[in-house]
Amino acid sequence: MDLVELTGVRVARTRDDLRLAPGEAFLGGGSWLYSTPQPGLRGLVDLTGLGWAPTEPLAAPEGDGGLRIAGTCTVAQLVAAAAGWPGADPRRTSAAALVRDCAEAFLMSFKVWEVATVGGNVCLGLPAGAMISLTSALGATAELWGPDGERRVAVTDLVVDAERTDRRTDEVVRALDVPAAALTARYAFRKVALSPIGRSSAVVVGRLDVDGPTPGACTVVVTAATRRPVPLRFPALPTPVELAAAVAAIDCWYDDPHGPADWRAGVTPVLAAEVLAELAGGAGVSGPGAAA
Amino acid sequence: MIEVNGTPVDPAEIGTHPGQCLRTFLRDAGRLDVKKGCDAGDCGACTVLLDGTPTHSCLTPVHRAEGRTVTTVAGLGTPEHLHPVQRGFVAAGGFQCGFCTAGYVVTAAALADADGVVPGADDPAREADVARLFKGNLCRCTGYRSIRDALAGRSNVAPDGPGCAGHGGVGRSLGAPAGPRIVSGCEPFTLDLPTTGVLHMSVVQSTEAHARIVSIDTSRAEALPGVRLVLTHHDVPGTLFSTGRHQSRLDDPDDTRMLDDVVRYVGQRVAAVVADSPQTAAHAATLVDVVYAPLPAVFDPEAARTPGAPLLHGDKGPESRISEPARNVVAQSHGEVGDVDAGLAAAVHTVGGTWRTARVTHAQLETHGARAWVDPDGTLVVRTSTQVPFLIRDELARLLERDPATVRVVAARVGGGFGGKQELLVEDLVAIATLRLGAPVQLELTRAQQFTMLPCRHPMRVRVRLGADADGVLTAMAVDVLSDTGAYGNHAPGVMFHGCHESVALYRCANKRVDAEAVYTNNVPSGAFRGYGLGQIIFAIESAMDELAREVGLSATEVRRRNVVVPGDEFVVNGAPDTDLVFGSYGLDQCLDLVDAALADGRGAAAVPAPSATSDWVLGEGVAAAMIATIPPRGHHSEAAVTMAPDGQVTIDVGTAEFGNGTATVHTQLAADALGVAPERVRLRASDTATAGYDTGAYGSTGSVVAGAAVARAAADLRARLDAVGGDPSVLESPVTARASSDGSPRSVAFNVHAFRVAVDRSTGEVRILDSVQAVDAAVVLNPEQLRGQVEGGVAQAIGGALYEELVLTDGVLSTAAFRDYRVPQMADVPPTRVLFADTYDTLGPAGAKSMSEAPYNPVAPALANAVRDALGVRPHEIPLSRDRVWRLARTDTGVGQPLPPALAPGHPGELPVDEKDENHDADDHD
Repeated sequence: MDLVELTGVRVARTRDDLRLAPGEAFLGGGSWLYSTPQPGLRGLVDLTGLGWAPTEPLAAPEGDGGLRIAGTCTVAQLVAAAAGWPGADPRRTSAAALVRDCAEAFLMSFKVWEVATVGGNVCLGLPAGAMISLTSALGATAELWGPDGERRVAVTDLVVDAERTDRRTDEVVRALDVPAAALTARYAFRKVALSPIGRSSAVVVGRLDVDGPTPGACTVVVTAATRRPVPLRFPALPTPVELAAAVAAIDCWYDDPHGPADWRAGVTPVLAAEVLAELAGGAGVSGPGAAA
Repeated sequence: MIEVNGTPVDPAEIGTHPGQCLRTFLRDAGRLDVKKGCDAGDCGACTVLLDGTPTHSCLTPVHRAEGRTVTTVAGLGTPEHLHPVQRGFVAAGGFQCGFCTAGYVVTAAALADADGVVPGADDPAREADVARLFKGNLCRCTGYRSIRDALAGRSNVAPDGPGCAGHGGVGRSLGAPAGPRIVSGCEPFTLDLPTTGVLHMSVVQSTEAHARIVSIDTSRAEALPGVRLVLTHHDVPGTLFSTGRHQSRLDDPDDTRMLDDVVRYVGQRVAAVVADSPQTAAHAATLVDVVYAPLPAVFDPEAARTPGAPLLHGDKGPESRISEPARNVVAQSHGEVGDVDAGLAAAVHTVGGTWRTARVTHAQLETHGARAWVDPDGTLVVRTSTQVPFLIRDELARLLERDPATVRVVAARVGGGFGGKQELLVEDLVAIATLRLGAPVQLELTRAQQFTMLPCRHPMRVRVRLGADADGVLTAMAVDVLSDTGAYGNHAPGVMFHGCHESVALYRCANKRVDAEAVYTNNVPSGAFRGYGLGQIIFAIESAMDELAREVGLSATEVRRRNVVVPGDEFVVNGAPDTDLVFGSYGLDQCLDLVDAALADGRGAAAVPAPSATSDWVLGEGVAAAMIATIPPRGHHSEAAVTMAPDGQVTIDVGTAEFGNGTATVHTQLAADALGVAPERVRLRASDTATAGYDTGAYGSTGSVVAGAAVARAAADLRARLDAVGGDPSVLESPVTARASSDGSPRSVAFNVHAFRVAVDRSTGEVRILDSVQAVDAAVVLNPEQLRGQVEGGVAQAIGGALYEELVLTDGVLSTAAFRDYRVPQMADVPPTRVLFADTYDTLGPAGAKSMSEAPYNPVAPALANAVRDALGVRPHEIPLSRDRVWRLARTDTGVGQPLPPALAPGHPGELPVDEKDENHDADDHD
């Protein structure tokens, strides 16, 4: 829709252009900004003019074989990139499928994938934000550019509450950096919504590391059902009882028109159990806990 | 420069706003085929190709289109040279109102092969993939089956050709005459007019649920360059009226002012700003400063009629026709036939319970909008998205104190109605502003305003008690209804009386009692909605009948066979029987048989998801029946004219509006049939008070049976006149016109029976529809494909209300004011429905037909709830049967899951208070 209070749009070409004037905000894809009235918004600074590569190998020292996802990378660009992973490195097959699953978890269709950015989705902090589900499961770290420098925050720490993040309004998400081990991990994905492919009410992603510093380690990340991403970390595949206990200890169930908290708390353990069963049943998994 | 459909367009020349999106820019540039459904990226109606990629133009900042190419639906093909996808939508009849069609066609064009077929769409194994691709395109009319057919290249409409010439007629699946124009974006809807010289209005809405306006400061708004006028309650007539419109204006209480100094719900109109551009008007609306003095508010209808409750319209006198303003009661009905207590005492079996329905909205893809101007001869012209142009004209004339002859109201093709456009909601403001300013003024509501400002479907609480003898024959029927009409009483009496009518009259029972009240609250107003109250009360009664069947040990269809009215019976509610309602035909017996036979084939049962460690699927079947009068009571009139020109061209003039109900097609067929001409020779001029004879309007499913009857009579008369001169129009020296009218009485009854087979996952509450069947008694089927589409669309809308949709209000504040939060069914949500027709001939309807537009909605929710009851062993008492509610139901049965900490105890707004839960025993003892 038209943003009726806007008086101008600047297209950022350099980092210097990222200093905001009063009333300005950053424009990523715009799929949320242009979808609802923006009272008080006077100007936008369009980040797409910066020309950041959508995805690129993560430079040292963060990691050989890791992935840098630009804040301005669209969902479609990430889906396209991930589609090429299995061919280039079969160990990335499961991560590629996770990217696709998360993109499909959006209420929005492939048409909005062309516009919506990964960084923008993370910055919204919506519990149902599928790129929050994805980057949380990938253990991604956000690189934030502010007027006074840069800082790095794990996505699971960046999103602090429903529609609230640790990002200051004058900070830009330059990139979401994914460590190499995340790309070769095995994943299981489950989602439930109030309609068959509707806006997510609960998303559970299970991750079993194969390579990297902690092979065999398992992380189960709960999003959409909770006010913020909740990573449940285990040194190895947990037993169903251990996982159920960890889920039961979650204390930030979300309540909105896409599902009351009691139901979300009730169905999340179902999804978690399925995720665990899938991870445990997978072939080729080694390490402690694989038999759980 | 932006290349639009091959032509370079210079944004500087058109003029752009800094915050403008591509959608409004394209419309400013004359591309009126780009529609607005939501303006938020949820519905897809505005989809265009941007460098070949399908894109929601409402989400695209216009500066990002610079240097790129844009293709709209009109750039894909023209009515004469349709794109293959456009041909597919015509051949499949893949639209009803047609407002979403542009977005579908453009999206599909980006995906389709050279034949216009979307890969996978013709493969049953890939239906889910196609539904995923189109989850960003909403259609409210069709139920998606015909759209799936279009995407798959399947044809449904009757082919043109020599064999068909002269047989336009009845029984043939003629495609909508507007089809080629709709699929190519050439059919103008309400606001598809150039905007040169037009001023734009934006509405300021109340932030308070109940308050007196202390002051309105318009100075900041007026200071904004481009603002022409700000209207407040100081500037408009204080005349009381009702937004709800009926043949008799006395049907609705006069309780509303154009702009009031008291607000009674959050979202009510408070002021209106007119400016040179829509952007300026919308901005200025945020600068109107309103000071409120809050008043006590009441949101629960039971509390609202309890002594001591805040009164919403306590200041109104008898001239407002409010039943009991001192009790917030707008309308009431209390009456008994026979002796219900005796009937219950004599009963062998009694059942009862209390059922609730949620607040749902029409969600027509075209938002309400109107443009007004003054013609050189002084006529006030209002072009508006309405189902009732003549009723709007008459009430506007009254409000503005003008002679109705100086007011012209015209509706173009209307982008969806469902009852929501049987109201006067925007026309008054544009009319008064244009009279004030002397320039055309347009108001186009936002999608959020559709949700927060406009009437929705009445939520109801319905108590039912049934008594029956050992054979399951009813001995008593008691129904108690509480209807929440919200802040205003538009349609409150009509919906309440109608809701209690055919639902109760369907059953033959010597002892009946109905108590019903419609009550004001400080919620968003309720209004006319498909089914007009029947669906809510049928949900309760048909649930109770299902319980009775279980109690007696009869099948769901058998308990109905033993109790439904049959020809010879009277239609009785709680007083004297109707006098103008008759059995023009009777097909309910066939409908029950058809549904039994369909369920017996076991379709879908094999598709039950396999049990796993964590899923827990159970199967169920459910049936419900519904009756509806084919025409509303107390008069519904239409005067039609049919003209034959010497060249054989036929013109129909009729006042009713086409909003996707298919009457334009049916009228064409009826005239073509009577006159023996090809339908291509028939032209329809409709819904214009200046060109057509009077028509009460397109509500109560009357477009075919009242307006259509008038058209058929006029055409028959014209045929007779032609025959008198030899039958060949070429001998005519000038066009010949025949006129006829229809007065909507006596009325017949139509029937619908729905059946579902479902699987329910007790671990998540998911309800999966395995089979859906609706048997309908519409008597003679004038257009099989259109009728099937009406039924499928009604079923889809009802599945929405039964499973997904809910306006969530907390202290009057809506938290579901966008499609992303309000779950209109998308393609993936709607299973196929088998539509079966009873074989009857109606002695009253045109060509033996009955109406069938609202009716398919009504039996769906109870059939689904009955199927869930069958699966779970626990009866649902409220809709929507959202997964959380079903999950809780499953837990009440089995104790699945562990106890929750108190903070998580269920407490959402739809939850029944504890004391009422006790009433909901499936079979209760006498009390």
